Amino acid sequence: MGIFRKKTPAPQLSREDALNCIPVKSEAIQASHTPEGMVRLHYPLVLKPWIAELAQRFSGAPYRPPSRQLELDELGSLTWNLINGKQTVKDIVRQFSRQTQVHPKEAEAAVTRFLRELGRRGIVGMTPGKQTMGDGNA
Amino acid sequence: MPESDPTMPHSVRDAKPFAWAGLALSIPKEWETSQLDHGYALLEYQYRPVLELKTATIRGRFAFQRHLKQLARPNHKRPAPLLELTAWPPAWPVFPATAEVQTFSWQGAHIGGQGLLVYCHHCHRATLIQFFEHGDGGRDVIPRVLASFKDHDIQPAPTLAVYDIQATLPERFTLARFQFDAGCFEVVFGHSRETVTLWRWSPADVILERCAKKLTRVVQNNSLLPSAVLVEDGRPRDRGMEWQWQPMDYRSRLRHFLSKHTHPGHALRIWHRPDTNRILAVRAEGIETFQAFDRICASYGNL
Repeated sequence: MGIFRKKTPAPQLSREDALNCIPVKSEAIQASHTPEGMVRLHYPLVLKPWIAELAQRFSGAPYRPPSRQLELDELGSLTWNLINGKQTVKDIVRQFSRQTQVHPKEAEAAVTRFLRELGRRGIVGMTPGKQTMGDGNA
Repeated sequence: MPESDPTMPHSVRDAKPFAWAGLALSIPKEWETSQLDHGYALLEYQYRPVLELKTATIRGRFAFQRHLKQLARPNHKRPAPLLELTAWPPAWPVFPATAEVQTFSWQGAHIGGQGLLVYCHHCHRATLIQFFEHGDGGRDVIPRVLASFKDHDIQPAPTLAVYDIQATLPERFTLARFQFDAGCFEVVFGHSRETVTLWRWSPADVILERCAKKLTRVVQNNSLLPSAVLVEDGRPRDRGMEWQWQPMDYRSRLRHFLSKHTHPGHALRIWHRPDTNRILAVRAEGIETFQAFDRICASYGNL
């Protein structure tokens, strides 16, 4: 009975390992710039596979996910431009902190929250970087 | 050797103050505030914890073992590490006779620690100070940090020095509440009917751009002033503005009517620090004198 089988919890990353991950932009994203110089993202809405399947069956045509638009503010645009598929989250935090003169701890909170939100929308993914020993916490 | 190795003994030049919950220390510049709570602080270096402080005022008799057990209890649900009481390390500074101290150490799977529990008979405060060890040294800095430890009579050093802000408040003020969000810090101190609130916003250029480069808009957007006061333009101060007003509510008027004391005043000052890209603000309510407010504003700045 697969339904009632207890799910194995996903291994939890330590804070240090999470900061060593490399954010990668999704290939399905189209980025443009607003007249004010901010970044505007067009991204396909991520649906659960069964919803997509259902939508395809009812419409009869090949399913095309609806697209959404997201306009980033100054700080979001800056962070977006720092994502290049090579820099780790830690590197991005450092650069963000240096460029905006915010405290490193604030930069970490702001950048990680932003990346988490983009990840939730399927705009960025994470590839594991260098792993460390230990959990980094007491 | 790394350029700024925190394991090396630090001089006054490469140290910075840390003050929270009535405790004050001088720490290496590279150490950063990681977590704060009432009576709690965790400092880190390169995303790893280096120093933890827990403090509480003891009411009644102080029992060393009992309070050590209580304070050593971790905040999260993991089991507490087994503490081993140790002899006083010879390099560590001697504490005054009014303090009762005991050192300890513990070892986990990837991390260890050593520290001490201090109970001050003068201020009746018990403080647990523990330094984390990640197997890469770092013990040399401990004596210097411990030598700077204070749990009372902190002034003239800052009474608040966390993240990138510092301020000196009269010792009668105690921490009431705080919120450290990315971009906006708010720390509230209180004493009797006096309240002092400190704010810090960053990055200032982005915030001012959104507020048409006007500090009044920052005040308005964050509801720092009663609307009846905000209609009047603030007095220009050095790179900022200031408002002073009297309480309008009937309780304050009645208190003033019945009392012979001078009317306590309210004041707000907000200013821009372009050098650090910060906006700072102080609001005092029910403050006895505006000189005291001036002194707090003068002491408030960036680390």
